[in-house]
This record gives sequence, structure tokens and C-alpha cells, in this order.
Amino acid sequence: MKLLTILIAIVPATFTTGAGAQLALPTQPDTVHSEPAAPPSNVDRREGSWRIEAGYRGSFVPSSGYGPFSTNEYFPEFSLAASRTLFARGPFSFAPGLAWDFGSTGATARGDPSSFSMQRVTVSLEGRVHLGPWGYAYLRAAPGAAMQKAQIDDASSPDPLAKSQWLFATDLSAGYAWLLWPRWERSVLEPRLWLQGEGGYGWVAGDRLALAPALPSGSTDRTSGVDLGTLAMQGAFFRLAAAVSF
Amino acid sequence: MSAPRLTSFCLAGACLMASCGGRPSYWDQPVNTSGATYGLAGAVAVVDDVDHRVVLFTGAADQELTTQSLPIGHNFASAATSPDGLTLFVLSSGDQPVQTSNDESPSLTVIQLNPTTFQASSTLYEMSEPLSNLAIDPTGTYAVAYQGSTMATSFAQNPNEIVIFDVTKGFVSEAASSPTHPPNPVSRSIRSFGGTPQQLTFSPSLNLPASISADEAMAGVKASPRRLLIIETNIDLSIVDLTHAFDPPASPQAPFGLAEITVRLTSGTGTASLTPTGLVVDPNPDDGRIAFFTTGDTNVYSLQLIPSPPGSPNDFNPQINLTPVGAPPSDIQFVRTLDGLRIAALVPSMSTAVLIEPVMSVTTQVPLAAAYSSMSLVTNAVTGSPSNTDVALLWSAGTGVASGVALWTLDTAVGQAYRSIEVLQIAAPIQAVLDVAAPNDNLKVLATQAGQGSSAFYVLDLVQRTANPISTTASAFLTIAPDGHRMWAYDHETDLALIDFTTLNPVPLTADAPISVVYDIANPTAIGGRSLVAMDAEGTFGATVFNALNPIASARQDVALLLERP
Repeated sequence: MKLLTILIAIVPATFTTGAGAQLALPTQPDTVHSEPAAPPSNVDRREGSWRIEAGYRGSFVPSSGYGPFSTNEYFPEFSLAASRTLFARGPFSFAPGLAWDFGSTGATARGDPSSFSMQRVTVSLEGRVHLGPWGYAYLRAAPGAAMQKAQIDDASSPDPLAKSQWLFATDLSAGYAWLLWPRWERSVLEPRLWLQGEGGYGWVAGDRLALAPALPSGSTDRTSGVDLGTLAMQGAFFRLAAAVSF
Repeated sequence: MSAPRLTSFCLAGACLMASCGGRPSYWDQPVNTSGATYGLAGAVAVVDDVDHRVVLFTGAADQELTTQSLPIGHNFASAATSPDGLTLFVLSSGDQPVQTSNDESPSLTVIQLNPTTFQASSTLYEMSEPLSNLAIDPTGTYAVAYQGSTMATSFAQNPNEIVIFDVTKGFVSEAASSPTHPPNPVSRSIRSFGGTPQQLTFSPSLNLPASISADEAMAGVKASPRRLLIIETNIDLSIVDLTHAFDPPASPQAPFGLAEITVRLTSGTGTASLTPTGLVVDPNPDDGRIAFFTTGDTNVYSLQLIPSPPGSPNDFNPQINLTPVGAPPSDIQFVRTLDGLRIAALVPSMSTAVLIEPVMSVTTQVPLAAAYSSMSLVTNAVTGSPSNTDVALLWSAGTGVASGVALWTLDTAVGQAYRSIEVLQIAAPIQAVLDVAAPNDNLKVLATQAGQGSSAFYVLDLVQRTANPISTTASAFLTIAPDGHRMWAYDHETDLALIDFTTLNPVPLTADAPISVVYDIANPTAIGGRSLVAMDAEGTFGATVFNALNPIASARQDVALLLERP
């Protein structure tokens, strides 16, 4: 139900983004042509050169360090990505881009309220195989960095027990983008709407969750924190997204 | 595949995947901060019942705490520490009723600390029935589980069942036992005439039977060392020979060990019941005497365990003496005077003490300055060396009357009673008298009942006959350091004070969090090092840890102690 709610929220947002892109179209240089020498009517412009996508990412995190923050080892995220096709030959193309994933979750850990959030910024390197009006399949590698923040409120601590940490992260995934509309006008460069799904493995470097109260600067109090073990946000994930290309 | 179908498929898959997985149930269980904490010689033990474990916190360098976690049985019932603070006994009820093969039996977990490093190890003893209470042998050989007056934990229960553990040996199940290889523990049902066990007392080693006549000696009767378990029920008294509790059964239907001896206090013809209380055992191993009084009459009962008639299951049998003391006594002790052994009984309603000669029941009344109701022997603390006669400290606890304390010198008490009492005035009613360990065992700490807005306690020097008051702004809780060098006063806010017994000057301190209880424990990282652990029973437990020997500016706050990963 939560997933459905998020998707419903994303789709209108994506359409809004697409409309904005449509207005900007005249200023976009048509810099990428797989076959620049061919007559314009023979160019398949369905994949576009720019692409913006927004969606929902669900990750399955079996790490024991994730136990205090989730009751079901699942981590939901909002995904936003932009890419541009830089290279195309025949049905193949290569499109690098930037992606941002953000998610947060919470639970109770032995009766204490706990929360966990993560922002992941990655450079996506995407190889595509185009299938005409049916869209394209792709493989994606996305190295980057993730900012994790874990927090637990325990009544015995003067301040919440917390830790924030930047960590190396990367994703490997494969997916399929299905061209929703318009599908048949192959030679016209115009905004097109896509639905896509992908699955893969996400990896974030493990981090020792030594949480400590964030005492005010200058405090002379000596306080020991709590060691919750190693949190490794690693596991299979899927992503469902809507995209606009232009 | 059409678009709606693909979308539905993806959504269904996502929902299915999202619903799988789960975390260890450990994280779902809130910590019960009303759960028990126990101070051991070198660790503080916290029972984490929902996670079926005891967590030991040991002092480390720079006031850090190191953690040891030991499993215990399901459903914690009670726990007790050994007098030396090196053993923690944890009784668990198990899963009742047992329904699956994963359900646990009731059990006793014995957690033993290494006396040098305080590293812990544990031994588990399974039981057949869940019992709620524990009695611990002061010498560290036995532990006994019993139900007592606690509400039963299973639907139907025998309140007269006791389970005897020899904790110097490992667990032996009943299935693995044989008449020559007894189980450990052994269980038995105490013969009952309607009563149930209320209080258990372990005797010191006694040479029994006592008072063997020349004829009996000629007939081959010989005394041998015994440990006894004396059970006060609410209507009678039972005596179990612990030394022979693991002997082969007399018949296939009988339990292991010799049959217990029941001392009935009612005739069986009337409805009046007498409940034994205040039981004491003569420490002289050759006397074989036990004394007690009851809540329903004015007698002091003394038993001597003399040779039994031939054919009896036990080789000793109690010979009973009743001595009226004029009114209900409140406390009794075996004392040594220049005229020999006596039973001293305090009779507060008459403001007297009565000395009873145990053989002939001859009594001597000693008038007291106040209605003292409690008594403890302080002979070694007062005389500083072994003595043939005793000195008793008398006080009246919980009466709301400021009656002070008195030292009762018992050497000439029988003949010159008027010269034997020395009174020390204390301005407030006494709540409790706390012992101080050697080398300051000449001191007693008198906790007084809280006054209006302020309070005080007294450090009583039994040698100097002085009582130094220490005032506090609020009602104070007191903890005496096991090494006898200092004490701690605290409230349930963050106020804490160290009182060194050498100077008696309080050193005020502040904990970082509200204090529920404090423990002064040995710190193995330094020779003679000690840590003061002020527990905070909030959240998942916290603690403020001080260097107990030099606490100023040494505090470290440890938080979320039971939140560590499982």
C-alpha cells in the first residue's frame, strides 16, 4: 500500500517534469545522432538524448546491523535520475548520468524509537539495447557515495544516540524501459513517456554503528556510546520508475 | 505483455518482496527496567529476562564498562548472590506449560566469577517443576529452590516441593541417575500437616548427634559433621540432613536422601496455629542446638539434636524445651556468658531481655532502657580479638521512636544484669543497622527514618562508643563498600556522596543521570582498584561510573547498556 502511494505520487510529478522539459525543447541542441549522415526521416529519435526519471526503489538488507531500524529488513527509497545519451551505434547506446536516492525508515529497538536515513549519490553508467517501439533493455553500473544517518533515542542518554557517515556505494542492475507514449513517431524529437523496472544488487561499504550522544561542543562530560555492530546496506533491490526522454 | 499487466506484475512482486524478511525478535522486546540488578564482587549484573540473559558489567580502565552476556533460562523467577559476591544464582520458571519441544524446563543458572579477572562462566541445572524462591548456603555448597508464599507459576503446584542443588558439582539429570549415582539437583516433597515452607536456614557444620551419653557411645553412636537445612513453615518446622540429601533412596518409591524430621508446633487437637520465626543455630558445632520463637505465643523454643532411638531414619532427633519469657519475643540469639551458653530473647513490650539457660530453662530478666526489638552480636568488632563472652548491639527498628542503641556486654549479664547495658543516644528513630566489612568492622551505620525535609544517618564506632551523625538534605539511600573502606549515600535524583570511614568527611558528587542504585565493585584493571557504578534505570539502563577511590572529576556516563547487538 505504501509502495502504491509513493508511485501515485511520483507519476504526476514525472508528468510535471516532462512538461517542463517539453517547454525547454527548442533550446536543446540535437547533439547526438547515431547516424548523422542519414536523412532526418530515417533517424529513430525515440530514445531521445536527455532523460529524467523518478521512481521508487526497494532494497532488501539482511545485515544484522539494520535490525534496530527496521522490522522487515526492507529499505524504501525515492529515486531521481538524469542521463544523457552520449554514444549510439546501431541498436546500442551509452548514457551516463547522475542519480540520487533518498530513503528513511524507523522502528523501535528494545523499546527505543530508532530512525535511519540514507542519501545515495551515484554516477550511473548505462548501456542500452534499443528495441524500437518496444523500448530498450539496459545494464547499469552506478558507483557513488552514500550518506547514512542512524539515530536511537534512549532515555538513559542525555541526547539521542546518533552517527552520520559518508560511505562508498555502488549499484549493479539490469532493467527494461517500456515506451509508453508516443510510440510510433520515430523521427520526431518530442517528449516521450516511459515506464521502467529494474533489479540488481546495491552495495554500500559496511560501517561500525558506534552510536554516541551528540554532546554540545565544549562539553566536558565523558560519555560512552553503544555499539550496534556493523551495518552493511547491501542486498538486492528493485526500482520502478517513470521517465521522460526528450 | 501489456502495460497494465506488467505494472501489476511488478507491483505484486514488490509487495511480496517487501513483506518478506524480519529481524531478530531481540529488537522487538522492550527492556524491563524494573528488572533486577545485582552487585557482585567485581561486576554489576542486570537480568535481561526478555532476552533470556544476564549481562555483567565489569569495571575497565578510565571508568569504561566491559560487558559479558550469559544465557539464562526462560522466564526469570528470582536471583541471589553468594556472600562473597563471586556467584550469582538465577532461577527461571521455564516455559509453562511445556507445549513444544522448543519450550524450556525450569532451571537454575549458576554464574561464577573468576576472583581475579571477574571473567564469568555459567552452569545450568534443569528442574522438573517451576519454583519461585531461592535460598543460598552461606558456605557456597548448596542452593535450594522452593515455592514459599509466592503465587504459583503453573496451574497446579506442590508448594512443599523443594529442590536441592549441590552447586559444587555439575548437573546430572534424573534420567542419567541411578541409586549409586544420584541426580543433581534432587527434589523432595516436605511432609506437610497443612503448612508450606516460608523461610529456609542453612546450619553451620554441626557434629551430630550431639550430647552422646557414655552408654550410647559404647553402643556405637558416633557424631559426624552435618549440614542441616531448617525449614520454617507457617505451622511447623522441618529439618533436612543436607549432608545426606543425595544418599540412595531407602525404597524405590522414596526420594534420594534421608527423611526429614518434622517438629509440629500444634497438638493437632486445637485450631490455634503457631508460626515459627527468628530461627537461630548455636554456632558451637558440638552443641547441636536450634532455637526459635513463634508469632502466636510467649515461649522460646529450643531444640537439641540428640541421638535418636534405634531404627529411626535419622541418627539424631530433636529434644524440645519451651521457655516462657512473659510476652512475645521479637528477636533471639545464642550468646556466651561467663555462666555458659544462654539464649538471649528481647521482649520489647516489657522493655526487657531474658537470658535462658537452655538445659534447665532457668531465666534471668535484664531490664533495658528502651523497648529494643532487634539484636546482633558484635563481639569481635568490640573486643578486637576472639572472646569467650559476647557483646550484643540492641536497637529498635521501624518503631518510629528514637530509642538509640545499646551495647549489651554479656559476660556478667546473668549475675549483674544492671551493669551490662550501655546506651548511646541517637536523635532519630532507627530504620536499619548496616554492617561494615573489615578492616572497619568496628563500625556500624545506622540508617534513620526520614525527617521533615532532612535526614541523617550515623556512623557508630563500637570501640570508641561514638555515633557520628552525617546530615543529608533528603532521605538518603546507603551502600557500604564491600572492602569496608567507604560508604555511599545517594538519592533518586543525581545527588551522591562518598563518606570515607577514615575521615567521615562527605565528598559531594553528582551523577549524570538519576540514580536507581549504586554498587561499589572491584576494578580488575588496577591492583586494589574499585569503581562506583551508579545505575540509571531508564531506557535500556545507563550508568555513571566513578573511580571509587578518587571519584572527583572521574565520572563517565555509559548509556543504553542493554541496547548492544545480540
